[in-house]
Amino acid sequence: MAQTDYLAAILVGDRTALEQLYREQFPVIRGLLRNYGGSEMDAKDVFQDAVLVVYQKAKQPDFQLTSQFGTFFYSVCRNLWLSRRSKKSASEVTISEDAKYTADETSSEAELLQVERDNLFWRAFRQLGEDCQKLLELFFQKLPMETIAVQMGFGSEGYARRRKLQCKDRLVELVKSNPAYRELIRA
Amino acid sequence: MNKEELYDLIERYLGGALPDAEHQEVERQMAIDADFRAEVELHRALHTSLGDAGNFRLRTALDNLLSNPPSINDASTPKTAPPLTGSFTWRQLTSIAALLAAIGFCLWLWLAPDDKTTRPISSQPVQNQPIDTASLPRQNTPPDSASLPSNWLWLASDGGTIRPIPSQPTQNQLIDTVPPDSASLPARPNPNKPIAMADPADFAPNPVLEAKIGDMVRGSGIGFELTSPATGTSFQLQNGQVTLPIRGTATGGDISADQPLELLIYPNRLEAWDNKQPIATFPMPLIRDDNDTYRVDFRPVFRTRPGLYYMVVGQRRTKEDGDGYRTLWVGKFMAQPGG
Repeated sequence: MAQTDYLAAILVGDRTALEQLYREQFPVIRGLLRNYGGSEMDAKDVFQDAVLVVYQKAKQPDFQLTSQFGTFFYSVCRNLWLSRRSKKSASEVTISEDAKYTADETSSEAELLQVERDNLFWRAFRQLGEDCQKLLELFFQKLPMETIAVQMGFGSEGYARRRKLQCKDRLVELVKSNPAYRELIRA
Repeated sequence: MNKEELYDLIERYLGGALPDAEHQEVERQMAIDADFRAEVELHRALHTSLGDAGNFRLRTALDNLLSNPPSINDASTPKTAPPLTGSFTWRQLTSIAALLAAIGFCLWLWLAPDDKTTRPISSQPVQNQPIDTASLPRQNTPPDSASLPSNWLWLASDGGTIRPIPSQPTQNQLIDTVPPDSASLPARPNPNKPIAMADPADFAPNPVLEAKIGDMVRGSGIGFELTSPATGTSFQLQNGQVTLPIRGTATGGDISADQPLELLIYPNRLEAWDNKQPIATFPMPLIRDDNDTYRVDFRPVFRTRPGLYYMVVGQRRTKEDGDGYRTLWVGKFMAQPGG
């Protein structure tokens, strides 16, 4: 698949292309992390977050890929992992010059933080019940309450508003109860 | 103000639906009340993050993908078979496939070069010129290869004969890679397939590293000498991977666990060396011969593309010494297009 295809696929969330990307890149990422002491689970996290970083970048209108997609993706993964490891092990592990994280054109600190914050929100969102997830998805997409009420099969717009309040309140509480929240808010 | 009123106020503020006076009042309140400001910012971030339909779709797709990841051992095989069309049955298609395989095998026997033409991997240095693909060494796949699993690779052993090794890395065959250019690689090399063209720029010497080739740092620290592969050796890529027969000797004293020796593979690009970005790093397994001497003998495998690469043996520095590596030895090799 050509490099531009992967960018387009990530922008539209194309499951088939993501699967192909996984087949191609996951062994590479796993090998990279293995050399830096990472696990299979770490490799999956890094793969996922790298796709999300690429999405953030690809959304920017002035973004241009200046290398092979695979090379670019590898750099994003490497930076993600080194950034995390640097934070985690600032006082525990000696990090060689080769393995130090430095922000570059492939992933800025702000983009990595953005993904961390979105992960926090997404995990909280996924803990909600299915109907709350569906209702909030429609709400965050700015659909009118009367449309949401119809799509959700609620009897009235008023009930939809009350239900939305309950769901959103639950979401906010889940986010706030996560220890990572305070840290991300400070960042 | 109860929670319903608070959320409603924040949502109308974020949506730009408040009258000017109320809008300004919210901003004044945010300026003096940190908790209120944090609440507004949280709602803003939630709306931005979860209101991004593309992000939402992508995360849903990633959740589905990673909760049930595809097998990565059969990259060239579609996860699901394409639907049957027409009036063929599976039994008929299987028969056709078997017939085609038999014809293919006969053609292979007819077209394959004689075994005597098989050459071992070159141990002679090659020039840094654009590649003449016609002159590159080729390897034959032995006739019984069809009976082997498709995820096995064919690699030439030191003696020039051919033997299969599993493509999964063993303890001493860690894989660290730069991604391949192509979307998917063939499961097994085909010696009759035309050799892919390489980019001459990938074979241009790196003057900084060229000046260091063969340097054996001596003095108070450890010295290292790489005896294999000979610098400048050319290796054919097998399924996009290269295996390095690394042998060498470290002398000069104890090598402590916090200052291990590592093999770093750098591409020819200046910036890779300048930025200390090797494409692969392998811990060197050391065999102690006596108090002052260690032997190294291992065969790292890694995926890469055709080009000139530099093998750098380094000893990790401690934090007190400023981190990074102390370079002990530099050699080079070529990865040539292969099957």
